[in-house]
Amino acid sequence: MRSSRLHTVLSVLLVCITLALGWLIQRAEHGFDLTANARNSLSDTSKSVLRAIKTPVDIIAVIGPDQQQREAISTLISRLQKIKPDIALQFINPETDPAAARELNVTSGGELILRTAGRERRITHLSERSISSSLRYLNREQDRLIAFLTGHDERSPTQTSNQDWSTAANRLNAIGLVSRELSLVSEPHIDASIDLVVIAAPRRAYFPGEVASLNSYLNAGGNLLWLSEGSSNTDSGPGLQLLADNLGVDTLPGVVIDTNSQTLAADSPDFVMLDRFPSHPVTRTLSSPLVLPQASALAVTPLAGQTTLPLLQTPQSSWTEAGVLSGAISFDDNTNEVAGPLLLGVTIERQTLTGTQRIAVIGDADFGASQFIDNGGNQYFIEALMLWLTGEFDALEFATQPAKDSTLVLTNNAIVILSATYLAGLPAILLLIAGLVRWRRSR
Amino acid sequence: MIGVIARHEGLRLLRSSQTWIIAALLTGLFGFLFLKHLESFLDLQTQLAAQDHPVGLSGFMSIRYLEPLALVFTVLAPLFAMRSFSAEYRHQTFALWQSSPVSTAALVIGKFLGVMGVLLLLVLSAVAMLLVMTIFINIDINLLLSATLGLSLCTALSAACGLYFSTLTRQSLIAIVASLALLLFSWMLGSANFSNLPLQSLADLSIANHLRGFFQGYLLIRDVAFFMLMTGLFLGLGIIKLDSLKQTGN
Repeated sequence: MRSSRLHTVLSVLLVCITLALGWLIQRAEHGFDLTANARNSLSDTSKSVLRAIKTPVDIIAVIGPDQQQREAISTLISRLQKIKPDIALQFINPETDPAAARELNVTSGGELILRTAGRERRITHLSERSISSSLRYLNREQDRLIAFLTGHDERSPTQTSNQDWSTAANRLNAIGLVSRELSLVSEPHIDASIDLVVIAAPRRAYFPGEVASLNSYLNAGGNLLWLSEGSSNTDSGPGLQLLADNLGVDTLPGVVIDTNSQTLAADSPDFVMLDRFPSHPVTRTLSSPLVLPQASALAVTPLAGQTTLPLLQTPQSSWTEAGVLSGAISFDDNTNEVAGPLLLGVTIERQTLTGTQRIAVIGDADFGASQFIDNGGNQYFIEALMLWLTGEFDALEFATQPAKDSTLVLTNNAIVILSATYLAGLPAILLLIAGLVRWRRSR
Repeated sequence: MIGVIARHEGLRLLRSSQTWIIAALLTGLFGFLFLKHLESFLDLQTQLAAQDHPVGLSGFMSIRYLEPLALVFTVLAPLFAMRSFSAEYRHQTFALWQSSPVSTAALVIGKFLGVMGVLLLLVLSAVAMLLVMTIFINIDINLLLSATLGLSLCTALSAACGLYFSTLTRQSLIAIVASLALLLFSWMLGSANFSNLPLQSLADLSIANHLRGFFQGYLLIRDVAFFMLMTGLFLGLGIIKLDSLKQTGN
């Protein structure tokens, strides 16, 4: 019986050695990403964002004890730490430590708080993209300032009616683009700290002094977003013809009607839905259609010294309708109506002594109004547009490698053959072999 | 010597019509699951391609089709392995082995390799269904290899576990139930949420936690080490047990 005790000891020893070795090896984090499109590694965008941050980063994850979520966060942060070692991750469980969670003022449902150099940013949706853009935001020295001109019944970033842009302004605030109102009467000289001026569909005329202010702002290289509804060369308009001439962009009278939009969504005949865009950095990653209620078309004269690019364009099935919108409407050739394809938005870039000046003119202001901002890709478009105009277009770039096996096309024949083989053919062959084996055994 | 035993064990399994019937049923099951997930891929492919770090056919099928099969193989492997020793005990053929000059280690490893040979054929048949899609589209071969490695290691662990329990008892039913209970318990540890940190290290013993990386194409040293260590542990324990039987007489 001595040998049986020896064997018990040996068994226990083996178990202990295995557990010890196992415990040691569990500390090792080393792994190999074998996927063809590097799915388990950081995108190049994230890597460049990390390398650009010079200060240490603290990340506090306030989430419940769900192990899978915690592991997902740990894995992602450890990938960040491989590039930038001075990232510190800390978990706080609001269930076991409610005081700490309350102190941090955390919303329920969990948050990821990122801090560096005295600035803070919070994310509720965990993804490499959101962390990357938050880090990029944190690395920026200060917020970008957007000034909405006021005093002529323009759309306001602070008023909360359906047509105003307060929802848009709040959401832009969340990505570091702060909006305020600006009156050219009280501040004729536009301060250099303002990164973008927005003319949001004024309905009353500008004073000549205001127009002169705007013009000199433009000539000094300031960025501009002009949302222009209604013709700019009528006497009753806002009187911004000087501006229009400076940029080479005129707004045409009439509402744009697009029969193609009506097949996409039959809400109203004067709503334009665009799901195809000319090649442009702002719309490159836009994947939902844009909804533009009651838009105006633009007429562009190419000017020397600037690059004018189309941003939004309607297909050929469109025209500007000057008449009343009732009954049957169609393109009337002999009037001042213009047939499509029509430009609804353009961007202009000018090289100045201090950098690049960016201007965008869009023939609609309703797409960003609180009433319509959640339609389609409108919000995404506004964020991308504002980021581009304020020179933050790097923030638009978050590219990950596409997969080589993303599109599979199977003919009907192929499907039938595959189904037949896998569901009937192969099992039948194996059953045959089973029968064969039994027959040979019984012989 | 190991090779002879392995071949003997493998052929024993292949000569049994039961093995082929099980293979036929499994192939039917694999085929059904494969086609079902292929159909959902065809529906989802545009959405998947629009995401960050997009998943293609290989990645999708690896997670949706191959990963659940690991559980199938975990249950299957002990069934195949249990007959190795329990049957020998029942048919009193074990005495033949005891009197032969074959070392216990060679015996156990040989039987293990024999059983694994047949099981690997089944694993390959599951993976082959996905590999065949290379006719239509550019399959990510490295990912497929990683998933195959994961399935094989998991099957090896389960087979070793089944083999060990079959050395413990003459009744193959008890061997199966015991090994399945242990394996499934280890599997369930993976989805448990422990708020106590010391208990959390129990999750390190979970098979499910160590499998995830293989099917996502992320080969972690510690995952491979886990499976190899645990397989070695069960085989070692089996060798010790058999050795003690040999010495104390059956």
